[in-house]
Amino acid sequence: MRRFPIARFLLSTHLPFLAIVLPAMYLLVGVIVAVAVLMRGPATVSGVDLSGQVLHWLAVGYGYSAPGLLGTMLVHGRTRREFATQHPAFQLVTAVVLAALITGVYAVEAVLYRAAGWTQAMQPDRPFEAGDYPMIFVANLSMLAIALLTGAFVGVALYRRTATGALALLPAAALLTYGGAAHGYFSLPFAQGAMQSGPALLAVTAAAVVIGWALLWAYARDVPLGNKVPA
Amino acid sequence: MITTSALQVRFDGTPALHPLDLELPAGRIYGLLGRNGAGKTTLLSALAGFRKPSAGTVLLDGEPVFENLRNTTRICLIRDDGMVGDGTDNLRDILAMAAMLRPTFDAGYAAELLDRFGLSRRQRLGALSRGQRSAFAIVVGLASRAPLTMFDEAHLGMDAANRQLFHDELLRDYLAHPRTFVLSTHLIEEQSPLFEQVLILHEGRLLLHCDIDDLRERGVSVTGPAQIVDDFVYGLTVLSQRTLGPTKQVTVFGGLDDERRALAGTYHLELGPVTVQDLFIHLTGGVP
Repeated sequence: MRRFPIARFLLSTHLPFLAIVLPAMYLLVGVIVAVAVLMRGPATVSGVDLSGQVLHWLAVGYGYSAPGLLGTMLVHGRTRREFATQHPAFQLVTAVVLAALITGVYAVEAVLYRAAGWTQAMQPDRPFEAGDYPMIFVANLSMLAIALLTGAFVGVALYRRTATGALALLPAAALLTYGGAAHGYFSLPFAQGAMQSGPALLAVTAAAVVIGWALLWAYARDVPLGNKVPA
Repeated sequence: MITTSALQVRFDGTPALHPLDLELPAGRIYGLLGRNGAGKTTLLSALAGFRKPSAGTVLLDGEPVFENLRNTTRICLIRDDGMVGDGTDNLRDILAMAAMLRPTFDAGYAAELLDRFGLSRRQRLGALSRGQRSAFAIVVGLASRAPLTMFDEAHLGMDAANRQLFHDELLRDYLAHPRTFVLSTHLIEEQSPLFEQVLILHEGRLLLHCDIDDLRERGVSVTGPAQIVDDFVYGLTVLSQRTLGPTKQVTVFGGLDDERRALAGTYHLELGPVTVQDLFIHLTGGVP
């Protein structure tokens, strides 16, 4: 038996799936932008950048599926401890790979916009300008890592069906709100101001990931596996 | 060897399993019986490490089970929901996942069983019928070749032919690859021929743990003319009775002494074995 079976399973099945879904989503974004251009004239904002807000919540939703995965892993003889270490590791690798893909999509969009003579304007809350690819990568990495981990610990916490599980919504809201303000993909009136420095944003992301991981471990370490009612 | 000592499980303070001491030597097939809510699923969940005991210990070969990778990979519990993977995954992918996660998983045997149960590798788990899902879960359970394999009402929804196939395969594989099986079931008469030992849980307590043959000897069926049978069983604990014309069959609890057996011979009464189900119903409080 090779080491890290959960991470290997997720990286060999879930990551390729997500890497296929992502371009499909951007293809849809491209169609929407094309239709908008046909109806309203030249594009004035980046479609890829605009869709980042949707991606943020999709990432939270995907993270939220963690309890289903945890249950499957337990059924097949793995432990909660393994899950709580290998699943976040998979999420971080996924965040890196998808952030790189997204950065590539920004670059492709820039070429297309330039060819069409359009302006690839970013949303005002973003910590990057068009063409600032290192920062685009860091901001997306931050957004995906925080969203995936937050979704995961909230999912596992609510799976416990206890009052303490519901309390997980508070730190989750804090992480999404202030993490969102830092990477710029989710801003509220009382939490705004994306971090303009890449290393500073990475440091904040690392802190958020550590908090998310600690909460995941706290909720997952002895979570009982419930039994579904047979159909 | 599975050992529990003072094992307790409580749900929100309500005991589901009272302090339970068990010793189950390896290499046998155990039947776990109990009425609804007796604590069977709770016990199996604790044995498999799906649930942390509220108190007490569960050991497999002397080592704790909960969160102990050395033991969790040696235990397989197939539950009645039949969910051994994501509902959107197809069966081939779930078997590949099982092979990746479980060191003892036999992919070749799983493929063979899949064919025998008539399941297609391309089917999605969520699209299977109830019985097919149970059959697939049984495929995963048997192919896990886990030293401790437990089935908790895993046959739900399966037709009679597939249930028979399950029993045949379980016995065949048990003989070829000896290991410990625990079967929790309400289909007592159908599955009791598989059992070597039986455990009866009642209201969260272990009511009985004995060899299946010893349990069967705790009762006798008496068949003969109705009036003679009634006289013969007078004073004995009657578990059930059936009348067909002038003939009556009565099941009594407790063994018969030599004197009474001789008396039965004198009156040409036929003595026979009693069903495990009749004994189970009696031991757990009778028909409501």
